[in-house]
Amino acid sequence: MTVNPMYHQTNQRMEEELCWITKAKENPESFGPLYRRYHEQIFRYIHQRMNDEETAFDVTSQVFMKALNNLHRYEFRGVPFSSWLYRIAKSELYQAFRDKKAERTVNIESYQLFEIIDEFDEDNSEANKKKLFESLSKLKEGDMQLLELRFFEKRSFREIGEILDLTENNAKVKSFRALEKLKKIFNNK
Amino acid sequence: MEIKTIRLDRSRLSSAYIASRQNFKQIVSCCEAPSISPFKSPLFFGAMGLSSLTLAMMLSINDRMVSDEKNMENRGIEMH
Repeated sequence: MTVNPMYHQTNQRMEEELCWITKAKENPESFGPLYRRYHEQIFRYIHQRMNDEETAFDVTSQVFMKALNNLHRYEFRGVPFSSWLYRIAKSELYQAFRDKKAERTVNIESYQLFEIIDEFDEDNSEANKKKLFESLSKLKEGDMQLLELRFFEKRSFREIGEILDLTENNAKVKSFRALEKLKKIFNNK
Repeated sequence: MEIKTIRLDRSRLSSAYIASRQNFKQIVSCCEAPSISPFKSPLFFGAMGLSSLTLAMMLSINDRMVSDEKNMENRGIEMH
């Protein structure tokens, strides 16, 4: 499976960001380049998991406000700044669900369903697509999170680990276990 | 957490549209300025210091005036 290059971080990019962070700690206006770089990614991450577009924009703004207000606490530990933002986004997203501002929604493309059917070595038929669609609704939230990050958004295990606070290896094991669970539900249907 | 809905093939928002919804001014304006408690501000200490000093000076001047008046009265009694 290919990994989405949008989420790839080079050392040069991380160093550049570190410079922006240092400046932004002194002057909030210097947070601009980081905001512009990550606004779309964070918005898509949030919008992918809920129905309402306006609420997704609101939650995205809250993520950046929280990031800016807590920037003095941010310490570089070899993990890209985006992972820190994603963790804030995850926390704000689940807070929005708890506050009933939005409903948890899983948004999938048809081709993504067919990719999973391929992983199961099954036929790419409409019947299997329907069966997989129904099987997904039986998954628990934790497993769904892993499948969304790995199979729908095509993130690397390293990044999944950084977002979910797991080691890279643990993220790999858990993602495959989630896929196995889905396969079991799919085969029992 | 309960997954309420699974939606298939939702229309994708364009990058240009998402970018048009950026509002950095709002983010910066909501950033809490490092607030200094009024009791810790130099203005508070300056005002408090000056008023305490003035009060102390007024009290000492008042005391001196009262004691001068008493001295005058005592001298008056002695002269009579």
